[in-house]
Amino acid sequence: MQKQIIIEVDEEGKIHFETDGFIGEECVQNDVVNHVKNALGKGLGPEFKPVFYQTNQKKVVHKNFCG
Amino acid sequence: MSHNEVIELEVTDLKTLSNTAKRLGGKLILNEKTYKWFGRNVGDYPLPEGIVESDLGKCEHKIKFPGINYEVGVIKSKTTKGAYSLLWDFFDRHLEKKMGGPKAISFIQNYTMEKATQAAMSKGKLCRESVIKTEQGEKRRLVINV
Repeated sequence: MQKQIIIEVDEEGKIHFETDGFIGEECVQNDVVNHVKNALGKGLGPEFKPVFYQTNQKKVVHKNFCG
Repeated sequence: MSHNEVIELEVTDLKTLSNTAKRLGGKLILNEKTYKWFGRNVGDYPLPEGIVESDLGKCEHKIKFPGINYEVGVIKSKTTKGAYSLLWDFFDRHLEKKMGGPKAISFIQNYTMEKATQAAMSKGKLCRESVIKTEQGEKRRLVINV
């Protein structure tokens, strides 16, 4: 399965960050995932709210611009 | 009449900001110390948090869109050292439309796409960007093959 990072910015400017195709903690340790996440996290608003972390295959982080 | 707002975006990278302006047909102009707005605060709209009247119209750099009178000021962040904020007067309907409404959603979406794309490409990864139309407007999606 292709490993992917999927980033969406919705109609309210809220970022949805998701990884797909990773197994277990692989996505947490992946260099590219961390690099992209850090790039967005540093520059895009003060809040970074992890909603949930799944241990298998999918990890989703939501960030709300409007606080 | 003036409606001054600070865009909910902390800019840490002027290259990304410049590319975002280009995406929307505009240009980042460096070292321009004033940007165009209504020019007078008549008190019909609250000033953004941390902004005082004397801040309006002053900037470090600015973003200009051809054919649009008002501009977007790039100011030093009031909260983060070395970062910038974007201050603008969305009373100019043409600028408001270009930026994606009073909250500048289109600008935020494009900045995010640009920032993520640059990060992925710096790791040699390919990206695919798309625009998805929804009932509420549109959202942008970036898929990075890892």
